[in-house]
Amino acid sequence: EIASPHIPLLKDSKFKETGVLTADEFVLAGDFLVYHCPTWRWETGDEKMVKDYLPKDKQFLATRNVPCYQRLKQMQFTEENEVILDEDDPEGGWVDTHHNIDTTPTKITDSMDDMNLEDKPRLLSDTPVADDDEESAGEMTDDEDDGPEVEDNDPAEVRPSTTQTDKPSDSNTVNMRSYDLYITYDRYYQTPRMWLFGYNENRQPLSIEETYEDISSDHVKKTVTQENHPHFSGPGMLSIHPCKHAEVIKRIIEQTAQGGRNEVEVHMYLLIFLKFVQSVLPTIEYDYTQQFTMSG
Amino acid sequence: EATYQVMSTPVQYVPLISSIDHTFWTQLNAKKLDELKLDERPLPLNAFYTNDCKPGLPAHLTLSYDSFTNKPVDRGTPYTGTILNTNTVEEFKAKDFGGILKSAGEKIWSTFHDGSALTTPTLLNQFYCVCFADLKKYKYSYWFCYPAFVTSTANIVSRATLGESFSTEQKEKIRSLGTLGAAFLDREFNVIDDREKKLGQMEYVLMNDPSTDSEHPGWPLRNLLALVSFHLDAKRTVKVICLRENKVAGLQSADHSLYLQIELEHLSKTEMPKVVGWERNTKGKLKSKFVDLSASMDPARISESSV
Repeated sequence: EIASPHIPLLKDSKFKETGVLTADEFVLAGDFLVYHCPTWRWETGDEKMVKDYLPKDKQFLATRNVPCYQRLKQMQFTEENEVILDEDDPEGGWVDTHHNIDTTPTKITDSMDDMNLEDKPRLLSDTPVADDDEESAGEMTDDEDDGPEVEDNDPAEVRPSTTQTDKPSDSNTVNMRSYDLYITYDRYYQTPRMWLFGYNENRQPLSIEETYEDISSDHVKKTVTQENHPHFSGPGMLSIHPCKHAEVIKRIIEQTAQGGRNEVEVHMYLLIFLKFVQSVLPTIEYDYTQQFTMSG
Repeated sequence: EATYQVMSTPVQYVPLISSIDHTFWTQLNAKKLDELKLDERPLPLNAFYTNDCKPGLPAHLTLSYDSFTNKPVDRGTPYTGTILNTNTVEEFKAKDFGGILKSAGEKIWSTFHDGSALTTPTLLNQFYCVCFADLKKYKYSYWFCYPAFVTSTANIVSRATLGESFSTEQKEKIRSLGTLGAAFLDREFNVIDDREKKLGQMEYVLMNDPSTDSEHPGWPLRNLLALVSFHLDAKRTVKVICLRENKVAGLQSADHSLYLQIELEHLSKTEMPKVVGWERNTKGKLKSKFVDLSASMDPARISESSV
């Protein structure tokens, strides 16, 4: 874990000067996010990994089963939707690709209607899951016939397949991925940190390489790396490295001030954070409120 | 000006789909290796669903790192369950799946008879998980069931949305009851807590709805309606609010919730109806499911792909 115990915890607010957060400010900003975007919820995580500088029931934020309707390469990028948030960044800056795109549920449904067959995310059958050569007779997959089965006659069950044929825009099973997203407080960088774990439409976990398809190519293997989640034991998870977060937020605070609009207050931190994270994960449809506008 | 659709069609329900995150499997591995070892005793599990999934998503029942803890998960509407974890794949395949379903149904049927489900409707939200974990290979065979009674006593006679049927004040009151998961309400949207008066005063049945389908309610309504039918003496139409939350134009809203008028007939008390509820696999068959986590959990595989 990066945040080793000897690093002193930030006590006083340095938000306006440097774009960093104290743990208390993280909780404040988290409460504000949960209020405006209730699909985000506070969680405790593994009891053995509770951090004493955060309330036990507010260790990190999570939103689950977030849809990712299409792969990045299928997205239509248009100039009017792109805003460079950080023009001076030698790495090319954070490109806010979703700047003017409305992601209300209606719009999502509309865009799904527009998708033709070729645009659909690929099916599991196209995706080799694992080392098939190691399969032995004792193992099972969903495809095999030797798994237990029960008789099938329930007139009151809505069958996903029927719905899908009739109304592709409102089906129970759409060929899409979903993500679980977590925002933790990074004690070393004193900023929020985003973690992601993806599944295909059959709820099979995505490999690292498959997940890269949903991450902006500017950030794959650069700002997005695999590390241990601070609140879960077990294997590593992909995370957006927080080394530039404070800098970007600071720049946004300055730009907003220069624009003569209302000052950015610390409780809005996570809404701004989630807005610029969209440049890294442009197709993952998590909620970061619609009423907030960054640059008018 | 509400656009009520008038009809008479049997209620159909959108089934739940188990949505198990990788942290659950990590916990199962640890529990099996450190604590259970070869012990095959059934263990309690806690799951939950939410009513705010985006359109087009299935009705997820979520299991996570805290599903093995003894307290109900408070991140949504709780579902309480039991995991039957076998030591071999042969035992997994040989489980009496019909028997598991029937005994699960009997457990729920007893809450109909003793009236406890009228006081605590979420008692009807139960599931079973039969599982075989191949710990060394990080591969899991599993099968969930959400026991529900097959009845032919419920017909939708009109369908509308919450938004077009109630005033802003009424909607606020209704939404504030969402944390209950399910409830019986009187004319003024007060929760009826007196078991004796329950059906006499009941005007509305409220359910937090995991379904995102624009026509059909989610699975938890199924036993709830069977329960009402069970306690009815004669045919009756009930008003059912299938509460859903979503964000529309930046604001949280429940206007798209289904508002159904459902005609219920009396359900016989003497014979337990047939029980169904095994989950379909990814091919749409009533068969067990399988997940391979070796790519994300196997230390050997991870070091290969690490960056």
